[in-house]
Amino acid sequence: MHGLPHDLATEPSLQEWNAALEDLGRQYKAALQQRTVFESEMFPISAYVVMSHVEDYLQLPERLRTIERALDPYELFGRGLPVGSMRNFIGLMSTLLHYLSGREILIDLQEIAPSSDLRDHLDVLRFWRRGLHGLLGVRRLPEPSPSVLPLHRERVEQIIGELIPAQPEVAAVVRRLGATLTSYCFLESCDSRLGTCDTGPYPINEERYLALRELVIDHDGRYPWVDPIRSLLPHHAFVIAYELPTSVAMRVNVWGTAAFEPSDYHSQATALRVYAAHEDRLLPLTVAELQPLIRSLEAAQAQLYRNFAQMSRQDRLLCGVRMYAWKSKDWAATAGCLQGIDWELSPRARRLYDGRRPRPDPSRIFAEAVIGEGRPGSFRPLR
Amino acid sequence: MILGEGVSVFAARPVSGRAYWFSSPADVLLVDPKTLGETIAFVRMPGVAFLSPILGQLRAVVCTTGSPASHLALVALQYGVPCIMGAELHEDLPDGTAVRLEMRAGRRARITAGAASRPPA
Repeated sequence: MHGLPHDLATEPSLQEWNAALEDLGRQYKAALQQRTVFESEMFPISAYVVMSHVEDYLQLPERLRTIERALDPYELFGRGLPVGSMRNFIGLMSTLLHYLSGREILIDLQEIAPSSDLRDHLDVLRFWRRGLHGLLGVRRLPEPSPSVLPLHRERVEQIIGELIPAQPEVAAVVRRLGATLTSYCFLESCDSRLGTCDTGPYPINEERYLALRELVIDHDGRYPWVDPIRSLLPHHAFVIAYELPTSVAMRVNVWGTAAFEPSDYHSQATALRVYAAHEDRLLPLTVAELQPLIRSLEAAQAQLYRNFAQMSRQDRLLCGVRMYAWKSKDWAATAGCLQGIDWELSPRARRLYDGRRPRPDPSRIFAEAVIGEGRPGSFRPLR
Repeated sequence: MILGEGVSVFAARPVSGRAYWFSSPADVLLVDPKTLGETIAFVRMPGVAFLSPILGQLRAVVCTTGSPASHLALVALQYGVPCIMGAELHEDLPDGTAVRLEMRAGRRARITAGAASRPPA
């Protein structure tokens, strides 16, 4: 991000934070505008997005202070693998983006003033900045670029050494597995992409690079709706590695989604590998293990889909709110303070769309407050 | 006869099949799996969870909103299932209509009338 001191030992001034947030807000707005519509026949996405962002605004600062008291975020995000758990790039970035979006929504709803809660903002920003430094394994942040490279070089070398040539039959089964995993993760995460994160491009040589896709499934009870499903799967965190030619451009956006040009990058991959992530290890899976894994995922997906379909739309909305509002559960568990935090939804957020009173169209609220028509970026300056 | 236009997620050969609208989870749960390979699913919203159990088995997908950056488009691309987003339909398409999708690089994707044949029983 532009505007921040690179050295972690130097706390940014409010002016520096605002310069950084202006840059972040421009990138966020541009990425949101590409999506154009945020709805689904299964989940009331706009409503749960608005509720969860408000919930983040109300609850996140105290939750992060509790986690930080238990463990410095620099240490928290520096532990184990920087891919394959919710202590990853999308987890960290979306937490800040959603908190700041909650501020915009509440300002637009005239429930807070632009000058409200500055101490909370600075606590969230400090946590996020220390976490980002820990995730990237640096005391100084690199210059902004369209790449995200949390994996240390030794891990990258390990993966490069374990790649399998993308023969047509191998490429086909890896592609099917990647699609099935991504599809499952979207369902489990209520149509959000919180379970999916891209990092890269990690250079291999002048002609090739490595792109990584992480797919993280709830393994420890973060989402109650996965309780009957969890045991159907042999692994719960995956990393798929693609070796791509530099003729395929890769650009990772502000929340860890890669765009490739040409878009059908799968057909351009020259080598591949699928890993299961366990703690701080990446376990390479054999090609023979992939087809049974696809069948397990399809069975889990079918059951989870039936369970969601039997819920009311209001219950599915609450799943979505919890999914987004519980991003920091994994962090609290790692820091050893999961039980010390109240994870209940606040009554103030619940009231937004409880079906008991007419409320403004959530799509309109989000568009006006967060996409911010007439503003260069999503976020107004802090003060 | 052009029935509609939209944005293709990736360039693909033309595909033909039968248009069926999916509007609720029950539509997904009750569809006959044997027909999916000939089904071009039409949906109105670009979330991907809704079609997730059947997406990889479909002939193609058409969504009347969204863009190639939408979640539905991203996962359809991964499956290699042809997909048109932001489709504007020029007329009603009843379930079972034979349609053909033309998705050429650099051009608007077109939905045209497909070869007339009997819909599956």
